[in-house]
Amino acid sequence: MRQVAYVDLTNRKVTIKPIPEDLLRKFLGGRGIGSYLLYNHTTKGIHPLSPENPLIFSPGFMTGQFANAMGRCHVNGKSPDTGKYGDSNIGGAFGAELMYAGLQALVITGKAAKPTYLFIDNDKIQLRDASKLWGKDTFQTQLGVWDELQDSDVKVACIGEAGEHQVGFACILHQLKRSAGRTGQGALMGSKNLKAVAVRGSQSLPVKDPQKLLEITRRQYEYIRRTKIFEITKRWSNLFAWVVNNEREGIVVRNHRANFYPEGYGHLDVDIFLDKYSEKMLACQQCAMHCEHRYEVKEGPYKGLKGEGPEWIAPLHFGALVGNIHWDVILASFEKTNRFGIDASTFGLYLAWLMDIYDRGLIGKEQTGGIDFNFGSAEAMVKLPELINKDEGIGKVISHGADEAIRQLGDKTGEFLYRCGRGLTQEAVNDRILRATCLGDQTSNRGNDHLRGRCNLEFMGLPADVLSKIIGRPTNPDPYAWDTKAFFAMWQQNLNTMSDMMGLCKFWTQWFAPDLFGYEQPLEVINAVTGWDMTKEELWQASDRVWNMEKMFNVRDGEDRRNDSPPKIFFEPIKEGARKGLCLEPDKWNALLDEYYDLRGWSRNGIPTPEKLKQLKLDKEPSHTI
Amino acid sequence: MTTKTQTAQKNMIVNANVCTGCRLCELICSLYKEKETNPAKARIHNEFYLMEGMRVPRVCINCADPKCIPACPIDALKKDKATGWVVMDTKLCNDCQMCIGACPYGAIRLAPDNDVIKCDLCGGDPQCVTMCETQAIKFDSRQPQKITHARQGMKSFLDKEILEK
Repeated sequence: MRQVAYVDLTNRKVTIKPIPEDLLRKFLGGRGIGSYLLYNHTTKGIHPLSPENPLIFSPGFMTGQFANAMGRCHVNGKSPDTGKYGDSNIGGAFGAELMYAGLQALVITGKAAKPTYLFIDNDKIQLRDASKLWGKDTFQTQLGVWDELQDSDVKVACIGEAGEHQVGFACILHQLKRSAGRTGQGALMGSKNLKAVAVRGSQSLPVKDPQKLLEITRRQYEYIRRTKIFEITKRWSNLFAWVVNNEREGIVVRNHRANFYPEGYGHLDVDIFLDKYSEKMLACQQCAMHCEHRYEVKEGPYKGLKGEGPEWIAPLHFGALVGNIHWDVILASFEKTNRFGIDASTFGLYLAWLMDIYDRGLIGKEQTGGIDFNFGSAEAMVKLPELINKDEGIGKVISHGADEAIRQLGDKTGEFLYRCGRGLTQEAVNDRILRATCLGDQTSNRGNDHLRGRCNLEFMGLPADVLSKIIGRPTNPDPYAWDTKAFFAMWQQNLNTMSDMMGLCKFWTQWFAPDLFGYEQPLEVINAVTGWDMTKEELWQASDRVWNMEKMFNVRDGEDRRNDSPPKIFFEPIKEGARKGLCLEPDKWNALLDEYYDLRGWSRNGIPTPEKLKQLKLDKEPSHTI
Repeated sequence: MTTKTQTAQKNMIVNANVCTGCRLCELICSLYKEKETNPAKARIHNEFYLMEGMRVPRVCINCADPKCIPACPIDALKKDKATGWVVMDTKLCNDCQMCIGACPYGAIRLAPDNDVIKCDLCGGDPQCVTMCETQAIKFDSRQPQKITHARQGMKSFLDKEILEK
């Protein structure tokens, strides 16, 4: 029996309830049950930093199981960064431990009277005093919890001082870099006076057909490990995405001054990182692809620095985006964002903004506290995380909402802080030259997101028949074509939703490469474990349902078509390079959006129709079943 | 003194330096042996060292001179002469836990129901090694040159552990 635990921090009350099987079948776990719980435990218009906003941890449906790469954990909460649907997803081993403790979901509401951490010890949930941990960074917090509990097998997710200060893009950190990064869930956690969630479980996860599961997981592992992408990723991680997208002029350089970064050649090469810094590879639970670097800086001003990661966002957001060509500066800055519990992605975007307006003379050393904020300034890269963490100086200015930052630094600066229609800072990807990807990214429910809507297969030069077979209907492989791309985006979004419901890492799916998992492989695992007779159609429906559940959250708070709008900069032509002059065309974008809404079963204003909700069995929501 | 027979026997070889911490060994172990998925019931345990970035597989490596055998008050543990494996007679074992304390590698474990469990190499076809992408655990003959690398990894790690204590 899968269970959900409710922890009311205000009244220090813990309740555990079973999840009815029919609800599980509709939403599975992870992002599915998480979005259901978020919608059902919130009302219209609540403030993201109020005690009413729930913080929800949901391991994937197969997290903890003997199932390849299905070890992830979802986090839900109304976003303190955007004020909209908020969520994020953590790898590592945290979600699995929640499952071993008997929990498919953990809903935390209210606000503790003083710094608190949760210790979930199988079916006992304790609210413990965190006053000795408050003020510690995320690494020291984990060590502190282990020391107090005398058990380093306890899995911990925690916040740093940034979260304690409710910095809008504070993250929740696990291990050394597993993070619930985007949408500011760390601020939500901090607003509850909740420093950490520690969990230890020793309960079994039942399997209906153990022999079948053994056969399925072995077979799927044997197949995937022979793919080219597996071979590359197990040594490079996804750093090749940095190389590939730079070559395609698909990145953002110096806050949209350019889209190609030749200055990085000979400096930000992945080979340099592998030779000079990466010591070995580590893995998330249940994953043989082991794509996490363990690095050490052996010389220079940051000699002795050790840590884990990074992924392609590092050379992108800490490199090209901010005009930095030095790997060790990337690592020095990135390590701090992890240690302090600050979302690395959003950090880079705010840093790029500050550098841009500093370069334009709109702010100066008076605003930056004397720090040089020119593009490429190592001083800024290394000092800004400290200031954000302490909620001081220029760090404080940018940590409590984009609108507040613009108000303080001057209205003119707002023109250069690029955000999508949901208010989330725009990732450093040149979406203007993409079609399905642009649509998929920009219509994502938490804001523009490569993990929710990016159609990597769109620009791999796949033959039409191969791509069409994967998508399930005729699809145009020309990245610049507009036709068939609306369904492509929807297919991608649903596939990624299904992955997040399962706890499945997207590096093992057709989001990453064409010969990886689609719906069939997770489906096999579901049926072997549960004994259900779920079909591919039912699983597709479930992912569609969850996408719509998230949409309902935003619609309840008044969003509509206006929120599905890319940042204005994408409608401006590229200034230089091989793709000079290309831009997103408004009439083409609107036509694509119309087609997408039709396919989704939504009105032309982007609202799910009553018929669509009925078809997905969402018409009775909020049902308050759990 | 190792005999020719002993060095040719196949045994678990551990190289902690390349262990990624994926825990697939724990998961297949419990599923294969207990028909349910639960690392707490696995005969192999992956130990986690956060700041050091080390992941260490703890599993019986069938010592040449096992410390668990003399610790057992009822002779439930014996070294098989043919294979060299340390075999636990689970019917005889009364779960007293003396062997757990004696084992220098933390290879013998206490399951949630207080059952004392030890790897039996799945009768000669250990399942855990089939899921190990990096060969941090291997089932191979204990020729000296083959275990040098693994011993280095284990030794340097144990040195650190002992020094820290």
